[in-house]
Amino acid sequence: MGQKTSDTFNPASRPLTFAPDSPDLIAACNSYTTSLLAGDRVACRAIVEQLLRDDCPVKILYQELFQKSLYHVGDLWERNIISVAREHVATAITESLLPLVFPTACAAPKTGKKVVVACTAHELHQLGARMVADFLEMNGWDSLFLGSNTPQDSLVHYLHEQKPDLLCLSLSVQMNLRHLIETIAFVRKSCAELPIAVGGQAFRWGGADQVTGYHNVRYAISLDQLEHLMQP
Amino acid sequence: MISRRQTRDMVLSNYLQMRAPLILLDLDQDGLVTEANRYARNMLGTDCIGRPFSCLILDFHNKFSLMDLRTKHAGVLLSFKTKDNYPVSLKTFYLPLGTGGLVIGEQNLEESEELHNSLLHLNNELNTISRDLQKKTIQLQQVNDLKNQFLGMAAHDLRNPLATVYTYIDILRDDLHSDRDGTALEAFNEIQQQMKYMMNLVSNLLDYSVIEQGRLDLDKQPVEIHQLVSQAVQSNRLLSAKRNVTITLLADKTPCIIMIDLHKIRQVLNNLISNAVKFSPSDATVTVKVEKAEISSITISVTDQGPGIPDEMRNRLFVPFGKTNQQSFSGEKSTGLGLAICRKMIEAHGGTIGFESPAGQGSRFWFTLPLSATT
Repeated sequence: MGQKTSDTFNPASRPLTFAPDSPDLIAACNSYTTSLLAGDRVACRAIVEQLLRDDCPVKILYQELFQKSLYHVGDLWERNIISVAREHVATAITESLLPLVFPTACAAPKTGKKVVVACTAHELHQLGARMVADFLEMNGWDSLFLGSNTPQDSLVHYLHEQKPDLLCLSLSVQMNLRHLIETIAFVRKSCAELPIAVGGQAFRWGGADQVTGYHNVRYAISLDQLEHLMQP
Repeated sequence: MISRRQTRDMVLSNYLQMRAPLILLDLDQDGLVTEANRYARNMLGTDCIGRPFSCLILDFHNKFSLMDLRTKHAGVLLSFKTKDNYPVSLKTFYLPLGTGGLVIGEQNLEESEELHNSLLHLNNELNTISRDLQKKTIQLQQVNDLKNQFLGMAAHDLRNPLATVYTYIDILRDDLHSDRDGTALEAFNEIQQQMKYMMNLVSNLLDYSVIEQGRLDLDKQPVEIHQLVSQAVQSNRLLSAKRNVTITLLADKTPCIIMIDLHKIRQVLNNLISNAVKFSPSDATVTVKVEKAEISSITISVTDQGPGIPDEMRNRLFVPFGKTNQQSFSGEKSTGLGLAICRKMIEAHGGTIGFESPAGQGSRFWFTLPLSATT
């Protein structure tokens, strides 16, 4: 999680800086990750609330704090350093903290554009998709979040109803890749021109080339790249 | 010769390579438990050893037979009774060993996986719905803020021209020399009455929008409350004289200084006293009372001898635009905001406001102010 400068986050009396490699942010992230792994919801909440009071940009909170800490937790689980129970607790804590940040995300001036964000069928991990939906809201999009395990029929019906400008599909578990491909093919039958963005942790192990072969489907490796894709 | 223990260990070792059991119970030929692994002892209690196996399960249909278990190679779902007396469902197998056997209880993975997925799905749905609700709440708040801002701006922009028109009408009325039959004067009086109502309405809208935007700041200063009430009564003497209504002030002489926003409490007093006068018939008495009924607060009440508040109006009095349909004796129209504003002002001081109105016996409006804010 970057250069370790301090494990304890103590808001200083001087103005704090939140550039991605700033000592203040690194200290906050280290402290947060430690508390997250310990399952300490109260401490995690206190850190997020303090960062919000210090006007830490919401995008930084999402990318540097929430996303990176969860990737780290995921890595530890995959290497059998922590149990699946601790991984679930970390996810639950993060999900419980998103509503703290959401009102700030919603305050952004609206662009008039609409996006539907969903997890593919059989994909039960929705936290990443939720963060993408909130991130898009921060950028002024009206984001309609459908959550986990979205059946193809329901998704297409909803797309016809809402007529969004973009569809974002999330994949967290590699073995659901084929369901994602099936979903894209199904959507394309009735929404031939709808731009689709895909992303998620599962793509760290490959598979992006299997989806980007479809017309107007782009892979966003990060929230920054997604922001770039959203530019007109 | 291989001992039973060695056979047991070999069987277990082969078994464990393929599965992950939770409980292991050694049974003798009579079906009594002779050994239990640590997990079994933790779950079922250490006293499971020495007991018949059939006593460890919840046999809901009274059909359990160890013989049956011995023959069911695919396993049987049994409910075990834990030491805390709650049931745990385990897929149970029997492995014959010598004259006895091994009972192996393992979690029903399909069922627990299904349960896990259901819980996860429900949790996800809850989170999604919660996000939607939060978003809609934020949008509603934004709309409400816009409405309040508009209200404030509109009221502010209306007030100045209204005041100007009112002033010029006053001037024109004084200049009416040729009005022999009084028609023009009557017309001007009516215009002025309507203007006064509009100005009151605009003033109240402005006050209300300030309150709704959370900008009700109190400018507290030490005020002798009896003096303030006395001044409010005085300022309504003209109105009461026109209406032929008497205002009586009842208060003890002990000075009582409290920290209040003078202008706002004066506004509340004027509102209650003028309402009482307007809704009183001719020759009636309005009683204003100041009393220290409780050690921690002072109560000011205004009692009239009017028709009282009808039942169907009682819940609407302190609600914005919740005016009653009753016509005042003075003929003046109510804006419907006065009492709502009074309530906000009193509550901002930490006080309470209310009324009593027994049928046909007039009304008593009261409010309290805390004495904890004394100097």
